[in-house]
Amino acid sequence: MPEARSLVATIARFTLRQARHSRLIVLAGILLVLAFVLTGLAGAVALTEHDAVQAVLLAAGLRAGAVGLIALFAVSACLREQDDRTLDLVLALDAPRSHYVLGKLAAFALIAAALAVACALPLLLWSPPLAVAGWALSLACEAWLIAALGLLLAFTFRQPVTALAALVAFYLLARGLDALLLLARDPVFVHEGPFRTFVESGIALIAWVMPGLHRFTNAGWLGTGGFEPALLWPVLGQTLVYGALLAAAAAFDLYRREF
Amino acid sequence: MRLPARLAAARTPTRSLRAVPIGVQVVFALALAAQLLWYGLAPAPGSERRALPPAPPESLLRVTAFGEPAALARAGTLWLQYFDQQPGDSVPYRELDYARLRAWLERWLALAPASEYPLSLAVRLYGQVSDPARQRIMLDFVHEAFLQAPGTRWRWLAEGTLLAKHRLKDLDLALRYARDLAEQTEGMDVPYWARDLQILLLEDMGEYEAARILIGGLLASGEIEDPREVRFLERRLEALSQEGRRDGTAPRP
Repeated sequence: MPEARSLVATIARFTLRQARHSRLIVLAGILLVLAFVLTGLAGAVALTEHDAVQAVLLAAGLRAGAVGLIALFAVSACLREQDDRTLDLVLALDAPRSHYVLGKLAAFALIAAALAVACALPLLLWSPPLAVAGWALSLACEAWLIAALGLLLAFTFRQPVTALAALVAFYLLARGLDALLLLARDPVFVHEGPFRTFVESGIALIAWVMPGLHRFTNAGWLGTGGFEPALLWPVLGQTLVYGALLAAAAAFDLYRREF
Repeated sequence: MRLPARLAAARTPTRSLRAVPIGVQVVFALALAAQLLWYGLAPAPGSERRALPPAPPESLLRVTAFGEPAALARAGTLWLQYFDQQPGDSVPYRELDYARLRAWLERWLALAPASEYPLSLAVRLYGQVSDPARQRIMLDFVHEAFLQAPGTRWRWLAEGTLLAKHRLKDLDLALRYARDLAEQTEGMDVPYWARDLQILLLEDMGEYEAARILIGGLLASGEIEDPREVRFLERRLEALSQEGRRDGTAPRP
C-alpha cells in the first residue's frame, strides 16, 4: 500500500511539474490581469451597484478563463504523455493502471484549487469574504471535474482537436442544462412535429448523465443576490458523485487501451 | 487497402473487457448508479419570474456582436419573443414593461434593419395586449420605424392602422397612420389597398365628403395607373356619393 501511495504521489508531482513547465502560472496571471482591466472598464461606466457589477463581471470572466485553462492543460498534458511515450514507461511499472488516473486526478485537484484561490483574491476587493470563499470552493470543484473530463476525453479520442471540441460541447451543455430542462418541461416551441419530441426527450435523457454545473460557481453569489453556505452542498455532492464516475470511466478506458 | 480495412487499421487497438479489473468495473457501475440516483433525487430546476432588463445602448450591442450584428439581432429577437415564456413560468404581456420592450425592439431593428421580425412582434404579438396604453407604445414604435424606411415597412404600418381602428378603436390615430402611409409611399410599389386605407377610415368616421374629395383628387391626378385600383376607387366614389345623398352632404346630380 505505501508503494501504491508513493506511485500516485509521484505521478501527481510529475503532473504538477508539467503544469509549471507549461507556464500555467504565467497564463493564469495574464488571465487575472486581463479580466481585471476589462471588468474595471465595465465597472467604471456602471451608474449604480458599482461593486456588484465589478465583482459579478470579473467572477464570470475568471470562471470561464480558469475552466478553459485547466481544460487545455489537462488534455494537452495527457496527450503529450501518450505521444512522447512517457505513459508507456509509467504503465510498464508494476502497478495498476488506476494509480495513474488517481495520480493525475490528485494533481488536477491541487491545480484547480490553486487556480480558484488565485481567481478569488481580486474578488475580495468588492465582495464579502464568505461569498468569495464559497465561490472559490465551487470553482475548484468545477475546474477539477473539467480536468477529470479532459483526462477521460484525451484517452477516448487521442486527438487534441476532437477531445477539446467534445469537452467544450459538454461544458456548455452542462452549464445550460437547467434552462434546457425547463424548456423541455414547458415547451415554448411554436411548431409541432417530430423534431420537437426528439429534442425534448433527448434533453431529458441526456440530463441523467450530465453534471449539474448550472448550480456551480454562480457569479450572482458575489453580487446583490447574496450567498448562502447551503448552496455549496449540491456542488460538493455532485463533485463527489461525478468525479467518481469520471475517474472510474477514465480507469475503465485506460485498462482497455493497448499501447 | 479498402476503406473498411483502412478504418480498422486506424482504430486504436483495445483489449477485452476482461482486462479491466473487477474492482474498477464495480466502481464504475456504482458511480454511474450514484449519478443516476443523484440526478433522480435532485430537486427539479426552479424558476423565478424576472423583469425585462433595460436595453443596453446600441453601440454596446454592436461590440458584443463581434461583427455579426444581424446574427445577434436574430438571436436577441428570439430571446425577447420568448421572454414572456420564462422557463417554468409564463409572464402575461400586461406585466411586461412596454417602454423597455420597445427599447429592445428598437435595438434589434437597428442592428438588423432588413429584418421585419421586431415589427412583426410589435404588431402581431405585443400589440394584441388588451391594454390601450401598451398598444399605443407598440403602434408608435411601428410608426417611427415605418418613417425610417417606408418602402419596405409599409405593411406593418398598414397592420398597425387596422390595429388602431379595430382593437384600439382610435379612428383619429388610425387615420393619421393611414395618411402617413399614403404620403410617405408615394411613387413606391405599394398596393392600393394599403395606400387607400385612409379612404375607408374616412368613410367609417362618416367623413364622406372628405373621402370623396380625396378619391376625386387621386383619380384626377393621374397618379394611379393600376386599372384595378382605379376601378376600386371609382366604386368607392360611387358608394360614397350614395351615402352622401342619403346624408344630404353630396351634391345632387
